Amino acid sequence: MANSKINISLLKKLETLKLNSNFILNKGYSGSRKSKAKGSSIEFSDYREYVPGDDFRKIDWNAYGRFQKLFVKLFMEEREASINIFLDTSKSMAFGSPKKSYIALNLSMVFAYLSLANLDRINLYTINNGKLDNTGYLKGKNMTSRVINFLEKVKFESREDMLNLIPENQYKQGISIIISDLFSDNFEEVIKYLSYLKQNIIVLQILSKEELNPTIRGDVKLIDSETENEIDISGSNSILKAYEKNLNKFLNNINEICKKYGCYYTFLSNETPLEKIIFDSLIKAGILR
Amino acid sequence: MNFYSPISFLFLLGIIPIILMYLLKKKHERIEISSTYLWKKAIKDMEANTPWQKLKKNLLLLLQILIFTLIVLALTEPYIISESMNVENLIIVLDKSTSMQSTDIKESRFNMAKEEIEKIVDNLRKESYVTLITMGNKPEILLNKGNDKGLIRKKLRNIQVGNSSDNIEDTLSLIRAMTKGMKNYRVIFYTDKGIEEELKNITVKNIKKDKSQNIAIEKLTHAVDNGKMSVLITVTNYSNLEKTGDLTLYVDNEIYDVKEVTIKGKNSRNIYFDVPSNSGLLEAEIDINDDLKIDNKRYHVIKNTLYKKVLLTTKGNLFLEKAISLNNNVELYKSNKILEDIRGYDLYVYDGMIPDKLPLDGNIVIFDPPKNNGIINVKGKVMEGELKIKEDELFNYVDMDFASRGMKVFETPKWGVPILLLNDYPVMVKGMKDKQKFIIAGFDLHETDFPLKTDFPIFISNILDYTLNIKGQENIKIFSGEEINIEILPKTEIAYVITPSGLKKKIAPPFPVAPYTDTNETGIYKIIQESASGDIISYFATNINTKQESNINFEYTLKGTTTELGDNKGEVYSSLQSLFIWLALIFLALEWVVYNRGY
Repeated sequence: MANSKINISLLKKLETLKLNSNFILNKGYSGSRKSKAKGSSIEFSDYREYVPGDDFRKIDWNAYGRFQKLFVKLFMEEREASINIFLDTSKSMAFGSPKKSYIALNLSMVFAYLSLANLDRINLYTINNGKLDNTGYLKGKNMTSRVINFLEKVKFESREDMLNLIPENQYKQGISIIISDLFSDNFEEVIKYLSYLKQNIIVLQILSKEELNPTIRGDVKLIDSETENEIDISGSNSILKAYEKNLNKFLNNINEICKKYGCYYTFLSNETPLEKIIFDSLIKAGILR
Repeated sequence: MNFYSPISFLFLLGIIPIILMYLLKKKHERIEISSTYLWKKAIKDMEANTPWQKLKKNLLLLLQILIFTLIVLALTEPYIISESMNVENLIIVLDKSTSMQSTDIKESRFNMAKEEIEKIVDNLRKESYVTLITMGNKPEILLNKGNDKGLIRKKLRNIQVGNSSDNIEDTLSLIRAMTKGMKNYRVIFYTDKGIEEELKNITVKNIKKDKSQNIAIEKLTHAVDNGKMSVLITVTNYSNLEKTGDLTLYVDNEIYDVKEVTIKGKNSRNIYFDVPSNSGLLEAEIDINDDLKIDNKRYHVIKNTLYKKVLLTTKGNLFLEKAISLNNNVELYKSNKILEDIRGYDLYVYDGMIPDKLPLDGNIVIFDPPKNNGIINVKGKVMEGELKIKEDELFNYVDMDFASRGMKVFETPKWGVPILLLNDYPVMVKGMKDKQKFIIAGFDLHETDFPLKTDFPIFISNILDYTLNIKGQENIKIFSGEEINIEILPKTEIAYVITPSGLKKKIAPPFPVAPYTDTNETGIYKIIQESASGDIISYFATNINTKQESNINFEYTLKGTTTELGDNKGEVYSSLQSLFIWLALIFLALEWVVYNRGY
């Protein structure tokens, strides 16, 4: 399973990266995440006129000297974010070369590491025995090794549709990151549900080259790795065209849904090198910065 | 659409292994993929767009079955009745002459033609009318403008092939007469002969095959020379190959002689046999297997009444001489003086003289006997008076009203009866003396005007008939299917014909007898005429017209303009075989494309 192993050397390169902060964060313990709420961090945000009741320690005396008016300095409130990483460990992820699971695992790790490094709380969800399994909320960079241990034990064998399972739980307001191939009809349901729970949603869809550009010839019986459903295909131009058309429809549909609910969405191919995904695709998509 | 060899449909069973091969081959390569999620959608999408998509999966199989089916169809030799046969009036002529019996095609040429006609009838449009004509030695309209297919079929099935020759000329003129003023018609002529005349809208279907084999006995005849009878048989080989076989001669229904005969191809041979001079019925048979059997036998009747010899003793009587010699069965000998002690004649006619001792081996007719003749007592001569005619066969159709310069009157002898009386004295006596028939007339023909009358030859004929027992069957040799005039004697009460197969058919009464037409069967027919004086039996023979019918292989060129006019373009059938072969090839190419392009 060399393919699905976590690339730990990657972590060293992540120092410069952060999750984009444009997420409304929950009112929780203060963390290092900038919140839209003005708060008591050291990071300056804005001024406003003093009204009685304000903490006069925050009056900017220099401004008073210049304008003869009392201004209060507003600081960015830095809060911890609650980050749910949903890693699809269904069997379909274990396909491709490199396996989609390799990308998914490493991305999970990247997001977990970045979050932990940013003093956010993370919870990593996988499927286990037909249920969502999670690591529980972890916080602090020292939890990285636990995450790595957890991820290394993950097996991509589930026959369950993860998107079916997500709505079974409640999640704290925060960020939800879905890493999956999204072969499911429940995608919109899930996004709707997570939006309802005031989640900022990041959708990372990974598809393999075989899925993007199948090269089936002749009469074959296709077996679904998860459901073991069989379908007979006579590899012909017309079916390949129909496949391509449906693939585009499928991707567009996901894109539409994401736009509708304001999710960040990125489509990733398993052929794109991991580093390019992280330092190029995700940054371009505005997920990392 | 019809099929010449529907048995080939059995090949369709070959589709089963093709399908089986497909089912076995259909064990698809199994590929495990991440998810069939998108594939399902794609298939659904394709099926929604193109409902035949499911079929498309098996496009190659379908094409292969189609190609196979087309090939099988081609093998069944399908055909359709050509459009030109779909006319308002369809005149179908079927040759039923002897040569159509040839077995070189299927069961026979005739059956083949019937089958084809039946196919045409099956495919007939409802608004088409069929006229069915058979051609033997005369054309016969079996059905005029019928369009009840059942009736047409029934009529068709009832047609039997005959032993007669054909009569193309009469048939064509019948057709010409029928089609005069008829529009929208077509004539289909099923024959194995050539039609050399020009006729519009005719399609000649030649039912024949090349290199058919036929041997025929063309001639069976006899000759008498010096009291010996010899038989000549001519056997002709119409095929190209040399043939050898036994030639058997039957005399009076019993095997008389067998000779082995070898005849080169396209050659004739004459074979002679000597037979007893009293032979009556001859039958010759050549035992060689060929395509037309009926002409391997031939029959011949030797005139059962051999020439009767008549001796006329007269100082000169031209009238009598002529009247007697009119009868073909009589060989007339003349003498102008009395010949004593003669014998060997069937009839002795004495005119005005008489020997001392009358012959004992023949019947005797005497005109104007001298006095003291020792046979009849002449009482004197009556110059004039009233003639009284008794009813007698001698006077049938004869008016005895003639002028005379006097007649001798007789005393009625014990052995005879007077049949003509003058003033109640017998002047003509007829009777049986021992075994001899006697007719004595008491007048000199030269002294009457009787010979000048039309009744005279009849009177003489009656005399000969009575005294010679002539069986007057003139015609004893006809071709099968022809009619024959059977000569019935005046005294006959009932007449029968017994056919070669033994059927007894009454032909008279009523009188006069109509020509006998039921002569299809070849062989020797027996005529029995029953009368008070006993049965009279005669024969005639019916044979195949070998000149016309035996050359089943004959070649001819269509000289007529029938084909050149383009009227003959209407082949009765259009074969679809090549069409199916082409279709199969096209689909084969299509399959290749499909296979390569991977649709």
